[in-house]
Amino acid sequence: MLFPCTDIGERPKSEFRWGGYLDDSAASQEDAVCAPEWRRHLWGGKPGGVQGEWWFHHPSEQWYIGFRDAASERFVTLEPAQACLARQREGGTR
Amino acid sequence: MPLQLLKYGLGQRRAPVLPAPRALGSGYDVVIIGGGGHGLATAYYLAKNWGVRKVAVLEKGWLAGGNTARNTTIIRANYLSNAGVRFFGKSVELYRTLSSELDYNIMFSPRGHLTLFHDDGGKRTARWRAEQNRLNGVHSEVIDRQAVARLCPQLNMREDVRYPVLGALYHPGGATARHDAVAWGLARRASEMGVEIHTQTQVIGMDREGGRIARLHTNRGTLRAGRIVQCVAGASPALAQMAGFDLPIRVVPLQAFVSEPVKPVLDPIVVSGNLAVYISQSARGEFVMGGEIDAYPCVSSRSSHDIKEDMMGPMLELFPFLARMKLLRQWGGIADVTQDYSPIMGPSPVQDYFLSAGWGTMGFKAIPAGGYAMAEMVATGRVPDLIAPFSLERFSTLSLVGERAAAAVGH
Amino acid sequence: MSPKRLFRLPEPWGSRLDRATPVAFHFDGRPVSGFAGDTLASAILADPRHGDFLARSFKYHRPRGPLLANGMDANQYVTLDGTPNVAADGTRARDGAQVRSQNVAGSLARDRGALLGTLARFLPAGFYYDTFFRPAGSWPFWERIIRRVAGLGRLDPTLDAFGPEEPEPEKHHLFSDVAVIGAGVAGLSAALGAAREGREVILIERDEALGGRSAFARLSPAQRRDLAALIAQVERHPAITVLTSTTCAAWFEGNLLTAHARERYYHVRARHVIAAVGSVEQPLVLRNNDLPGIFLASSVNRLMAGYALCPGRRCVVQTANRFGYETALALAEAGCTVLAVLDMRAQPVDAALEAQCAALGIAVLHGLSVVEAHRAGQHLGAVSARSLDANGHPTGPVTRWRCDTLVCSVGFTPLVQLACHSGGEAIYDTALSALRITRSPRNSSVCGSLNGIYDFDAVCQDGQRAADVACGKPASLRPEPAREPVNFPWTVFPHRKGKEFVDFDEDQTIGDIETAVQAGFGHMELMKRFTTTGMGPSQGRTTALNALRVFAGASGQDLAHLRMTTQRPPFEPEPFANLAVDTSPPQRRGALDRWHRENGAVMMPAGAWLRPAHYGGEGDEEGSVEREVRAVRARAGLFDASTHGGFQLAGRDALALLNAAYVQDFSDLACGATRAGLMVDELGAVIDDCVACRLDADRLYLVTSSAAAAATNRTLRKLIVEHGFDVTVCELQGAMSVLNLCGPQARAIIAALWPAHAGELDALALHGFCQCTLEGIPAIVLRGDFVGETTFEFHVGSGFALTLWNRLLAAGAPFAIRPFGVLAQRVLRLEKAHFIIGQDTDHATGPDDIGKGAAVAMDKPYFLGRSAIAKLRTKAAPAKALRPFCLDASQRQAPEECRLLEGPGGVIGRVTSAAYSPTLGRVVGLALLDDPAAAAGTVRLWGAQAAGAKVRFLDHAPYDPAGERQA
Ligand SMILES: Cc1cc2nc3c(=O)[nH]c(=O)nc-3n(C[C@H](O)[C@H](O)[C@H](O)COP(=O)(O)OP(=O)(O)OC[C@H]3O[C@@H](n4cnc5c(N)ncnc54)[C@H](O)[C@@H]3O)c2cc1C
Repeated sequence: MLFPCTDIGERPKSEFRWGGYLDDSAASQEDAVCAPEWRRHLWGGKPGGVQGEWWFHHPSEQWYIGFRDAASERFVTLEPAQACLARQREGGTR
Repeated sequence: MPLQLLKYGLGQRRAPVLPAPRALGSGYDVVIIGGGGHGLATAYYLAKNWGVRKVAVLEKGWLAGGNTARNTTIIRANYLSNAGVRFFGKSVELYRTLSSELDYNIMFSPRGHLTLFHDDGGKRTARWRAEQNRLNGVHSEVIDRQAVARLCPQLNMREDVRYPVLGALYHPGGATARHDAVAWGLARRASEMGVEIHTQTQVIGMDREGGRIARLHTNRGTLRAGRIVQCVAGASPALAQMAGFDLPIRVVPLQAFVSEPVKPVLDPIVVSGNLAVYISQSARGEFVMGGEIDAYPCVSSRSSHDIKEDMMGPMLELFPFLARMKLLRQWGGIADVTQDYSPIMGPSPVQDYFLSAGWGTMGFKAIPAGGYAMAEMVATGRVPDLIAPFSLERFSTLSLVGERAAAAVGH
Repeated sequence: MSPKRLFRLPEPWGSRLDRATPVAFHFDGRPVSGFAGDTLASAILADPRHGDFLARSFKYHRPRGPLLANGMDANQYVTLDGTPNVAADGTRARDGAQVRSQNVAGSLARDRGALLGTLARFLPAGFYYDTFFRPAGSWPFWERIIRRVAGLGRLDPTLDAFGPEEPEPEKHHLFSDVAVIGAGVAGLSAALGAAREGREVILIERDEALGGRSAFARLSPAQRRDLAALIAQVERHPAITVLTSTTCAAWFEGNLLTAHARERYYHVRARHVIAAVGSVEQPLVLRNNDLPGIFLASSVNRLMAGYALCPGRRCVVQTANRFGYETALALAEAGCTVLAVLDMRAQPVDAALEAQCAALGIAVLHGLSVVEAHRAGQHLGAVSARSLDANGHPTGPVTRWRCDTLVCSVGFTPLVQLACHSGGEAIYDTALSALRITRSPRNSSVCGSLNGIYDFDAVCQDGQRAADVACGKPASLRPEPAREPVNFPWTVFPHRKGKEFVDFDEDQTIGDIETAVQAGFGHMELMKRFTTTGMGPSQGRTTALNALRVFAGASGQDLAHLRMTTQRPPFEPEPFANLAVDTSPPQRRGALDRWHRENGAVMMPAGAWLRPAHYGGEGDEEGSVEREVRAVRARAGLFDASTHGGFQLAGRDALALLNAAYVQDFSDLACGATRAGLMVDELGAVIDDCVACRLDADRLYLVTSSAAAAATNRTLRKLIVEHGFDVTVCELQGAMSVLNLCGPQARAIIAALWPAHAGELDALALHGFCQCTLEGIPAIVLRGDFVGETTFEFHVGSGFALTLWNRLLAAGAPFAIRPFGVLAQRVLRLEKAHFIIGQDTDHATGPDDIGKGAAVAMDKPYFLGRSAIAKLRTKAAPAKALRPFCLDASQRQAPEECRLLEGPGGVIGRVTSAAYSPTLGRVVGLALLDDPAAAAGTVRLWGAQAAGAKVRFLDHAPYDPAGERQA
């Protein structure tokens, strides 16, 4: 399977390592310890549908953020995490 | 030739394993969502141990066609946590007599189970498990290279390889069984006792009223249930969301592989944690192999090449002569994995809605004990001690039942 | 032995043979002579010294002749030079080979296992589910017996991985615009079409030559010319890479094809895939349909045209399409007597073919089918045929022919498997009475028989259409060729005495499928599982169609709604050896690896690395560890700690990054100072530690544990992007080497070696560091404390490691310095009660559990795992405790690590580390206690054997508790 990165083109899946769901590790949520958020924060993604995920690209040692449909395994986008988060910070929606 | 075989050949046919389909009723005392091993075992023990017989099992596909039909059938009790060892120990005990109990040969075969170690970290884990096993009444022991070579002379014992075999955790009670037969035997006995099994029946929606589920919608109609048990493995987060809550479960593909059949040469089940591979040889002569879960969430049970290839290098290091074998088939299942590699059994945030989930890569061996305890809980409304540590709550209180060291590879 | 039926035809039959070159090998110990180009099977079957079959079936040990004759099924499996389950009809004969029949008890001709066939009524599908388990626990007994008869070939575990002539396989990665699977007429046309449009094409063909079925078929002279031209053009075209004898095994997501050749494993990635894999002929299902002497027409064509092998002399041909006629004509031309062509179709369809038959004196009868085969010895002796009514039921009187050969051509199944691996869909097309691909995977197309097209010219055209699609041209440019019905809908003739085989690999019959349906297995997948139909090596290629038909009949379900069972890779059994190429886990070796080995080190695995355990050579581990420990305590030792994780952090937010990653507060870490850090995961468990050296305002050097280095690298980088820190990370594990000089003489050695730097180094406080250049070697020198003696850690680029190591050893020689290994280091650190993460902690051990709670800076707004720690601290249960302990001096044997400890009230924890300390003359260790309070009482090793070993807990390190030796 090939992962379509916006900056480095299509790369084989074996070069990547999954690194959790996007809303997983947002530091802002770290203190939200009421049960459901806590659980989602640590382990849960949405069951199905497109969701944001972290991917570590070994050869370039870069983090990517991908939006992927877990059922079809297809990416909607896969871009360097820095760019993706910067856009989010600017208030733009994904 | 055993007498039964003679009788069988002389035309004494028995009741069908799976009764003919019938109309879906409008209400049941208990509705079990998911007709895999856990759903069926829960139904069976509800009927048998608690006389609860107005039970329907709803299965969206063909009977037990989920992970119960796809696993590598390893049964063992050599876990790490006290709760885990006790629970799986009970399950192995129930398995031992399940053939006669179900009057169906599930081919329970205690072949012995070796968890190899190749470094001192592995040895430490093996020792820890052996101690915890003994503490909880399960037999396993740490054995040295020579003993490993005696139990499994086919292993490559050379020391100049990447991961030389230093020893193993030996669990004589480790076994395999025929996975389909377990489901079929349970299904037949359960339906003989009045349980209705509806295949091609998918739960597609739920009406939640006053903290409980008032109605279940399926592709074959709507029904009410006194109590609901969710046993849907890879669909666990999706069903929970239908019922209105989240589960700390990640859904990941897990794959397995079989070779062409050859005359049996390999007796025990062999697992290597360092190398992330395991293998056994079935009564048909096929080598049944597997490795780790795919490292990322995915809800399709497709096959891939990388896990297969990554597994094969280490496999041939352990068993060089297998280089002459050919791989016949590969497939995948969708494993429902929790953070601590232990299952979730117990009540849920929804009233009268019970969970049996998080079976991940290791739930086949748990089918009898899981069903046994779930049935007791559903029938009595009390959580049996055996499964109390596996509550959903443990994730909010961080009282986890850590099994990663004992469950990540050796399913 | 019965008279030999199969025989060699003269030239020009045998296009694959080179009759000038003989090949000699052995089958079951007896010589075989064939020609170069022969398969093992064709040579054996052609040799008059051998019988008419060379294998027996899986369950009933029935003699089996060639089925597909191309290596795609298990009916010609043999053991070749010790390798079991080799398809004799798919493997070239080679000189000197030792070929053996397999799965026979006794001899191939007289197999005691065949007795099982006579017991068949006692062994219907799934019989074992209802038997062999009473009395309780008796299954293992029966299983042992069953395991003896299970399996096909025999694998000898003492054999080497590879035979003497077999080179190790290699892996190739290929890329192309278009990959075409199958080099029949469809694939050749498609490949050429795409190449002519300027595409790079890879053409994959499992057979050894191009042409597919047509290479053996009866073609018109014009078609023969076209085929030759097509092949020549493909072979010559510079943009087409042709891979013959290469089987595509799987088609994965994203158009990744994996393919196997004898010594090669290919990964082929293509933008567009064209599946032109053709079809395989399907057997008739009738009593004794597996007898040697019964052939598929396409197999006969292949054997005759390719290998000059004639199936027999008195033949009956059963057909429902033109291929049967063509084969009958070929047989007649080869000199066989064709007794009759029986055409299942009620009316003549192809007048020309019938006329040709008539011209050769071959009788053609319509509306008739063979419904039973009769044996003569182990071979076909006669067939019985009856008329068929409109529903395919036999009616009327039986006609019987004595014959030695029955050739059948009553239908084909396209090889839909590959397309199905990757999301394609196949259905039963009731108009064609055949399986057909209705949806092909993304970026792919299918052509030829996958579309139900068989006519030579139509197939060419369909191949070109596929090429158009692959090149983005509208497919409608060319007309869609007509589908040709080659399948007869009724091919199943049950017999009251059974033995009508649906699955030749697994010996499953009509009755077995009916048994399954009666037992309630009313779904194809369940039926498959219950009967094992389709689970053998041919993976349903020759069974799927007939199984569907039998199942539909038995269960009363409509064929149009049934689906075949899920198709899974591989397409054909694939060699383990190929899959394994380059996938052994990598081994990392440090810069000093060679020195260690040359100087008596016994190496031990440590994660991805190999490290010196000790330097005493094999044999005396205990003694050498003791000598190394004593050297460090009394004089000096040198330790290679190069596997440490190392990072350089540069940027304005370097300290902020540490604050986010580690539990401690680094805000006030001064330039030139160091601080230890502890990293926890989201669950609050300790996963790594570090020493951070602040090199200057914006740069940090971070030393971390070896095992977690890769994970820590990811964590640091993730935190940087999450928080938008201005830091860059450079990961240095392996790039930097770390040499630890330890012991009371360490200062003296430094003074001797680098007088110029002695002052600076000497002045370093414990945990202090400095940067200096030591005789041309730039280094960061740290005062560490792990082993509890004066320690200088030299962090240098790995290129300098050996030079520095040798200098240190040379300068230490007067002080009798010793290199010491991991084992001695562990003893030394235990004497000082230093823990190792991952050994003395586990997945559920937090900072509070190892006495590091005070280091956790909860007043920081954020660090990794902060909320987990907060949560854990609200729990009622007390934290665990990691405590040093020692045993009585009388106890020299260290308890095994991870032994449990027992207090008055039961088990209270476990030993995480333990070793005999030569320095203290007793065993010392660390224990992780779930119940620290219980440590006050009498604590012993748990478990009968060790009763008596009393454990004494200490409040301080066993050795040098005040740390005076590191002043
Ligand atoms: C490759 C592989 C190897 C494994 N190896 C082992 C092993 O060696 N040992 C071991 O102990 N375990 C092993 N396991 C794990 C084991 O297979 C599972 O944990 C176990 O089978 C789970 O049983 P179950 O009844 O919970 O799930 P399943 O058998 O998956 O049953 C769940 C059922 O729920 C149905 N369902 C889902 N959604 C709905 C809905 N909406 N409505 C109705 N029905 C629905 C599904 O169709 C499915 O049949 C392995 C798993 C895999 C995938």
